[in-house]
Amino acid sequence: MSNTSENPNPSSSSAKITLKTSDNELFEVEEAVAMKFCTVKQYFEDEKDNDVAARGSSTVIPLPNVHSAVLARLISYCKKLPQSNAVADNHEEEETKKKERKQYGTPGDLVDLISAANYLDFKEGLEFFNQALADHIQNKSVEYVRKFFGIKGDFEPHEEEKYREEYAWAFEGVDED
Amino acid sequence: MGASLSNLADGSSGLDSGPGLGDIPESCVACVFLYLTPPEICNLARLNRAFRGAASSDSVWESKLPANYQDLLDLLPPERYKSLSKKDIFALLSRPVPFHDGTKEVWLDRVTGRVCMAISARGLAITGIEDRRYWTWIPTEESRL
Repeated sequence: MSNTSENPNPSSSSAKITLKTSDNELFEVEEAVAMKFCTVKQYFEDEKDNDVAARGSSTVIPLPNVHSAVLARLISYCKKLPQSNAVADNHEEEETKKKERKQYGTPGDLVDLISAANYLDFKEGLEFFNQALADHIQNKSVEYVRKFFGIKGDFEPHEEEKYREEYAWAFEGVDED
Repeated sequence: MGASLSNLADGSSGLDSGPGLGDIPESCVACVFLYLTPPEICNLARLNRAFRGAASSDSVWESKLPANYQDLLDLLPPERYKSLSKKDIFALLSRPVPFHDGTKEVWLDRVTGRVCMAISARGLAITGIEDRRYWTWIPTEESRL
């Protein structure tokens, strides 16, 4: 499989930008897609100001914190845009959106996507993946989330007891189930 | 997907096998919290330090408070809420705040953050309420006010 992204609209002759991932893969993406990543946009504009490279495909922007597998998924997400991140106004719509979010893989994948979207300063993607991760940890116990994600509690026992008290108000009058 | 992005975060990733939820920066956790309810946030605050930090952040709780929460605070003496964080303001307002001589009270629903209100029959303006030919006060066990 080639990493060079296909242009969904061959008649458009938009400029391409080349991104280089942490594992040295090269991605040629449309400028419109690349500009959604503010980190890339900033780099691109700085380059232009410095007049280091002529505008166009000769610019290679290194992304040392993003793995190719993650970048490929972010780009494919970009192409599916625009779906709105607005809160669904009815239950049915919310279920549809939840299903859509589920397609983006396991919580582990989401963590990778969130970290990358955060580094790239890709706001829409970050919102979407954050919400997808929220779906996974909604209504789960601390013990479950720790086990599921392999998180070690980093509190001392006495601290944990203190925090339990601090947040007790949130659980008053809530049925234990 | 074997992408390792742990160099983005300060902590080490909990166990080797599990995906690194522990690696998510605190600012991202705060964004995830925007999509969770207050009891869920308070529950997950016990997860680790990043989650606890995010669970105290004003930006998270600002989004859970109703737009008119200041009106609710105005019913309380200023010293009770003056130096509180947004989280503590939510906690304060999730308990009933009585006003109008205790004939009414407001509070925030802990899950939705919406304003709730209870009005005692004594707080209602009822035509001819003093006319005992039409109205009588009957004590009931359900009445709290």
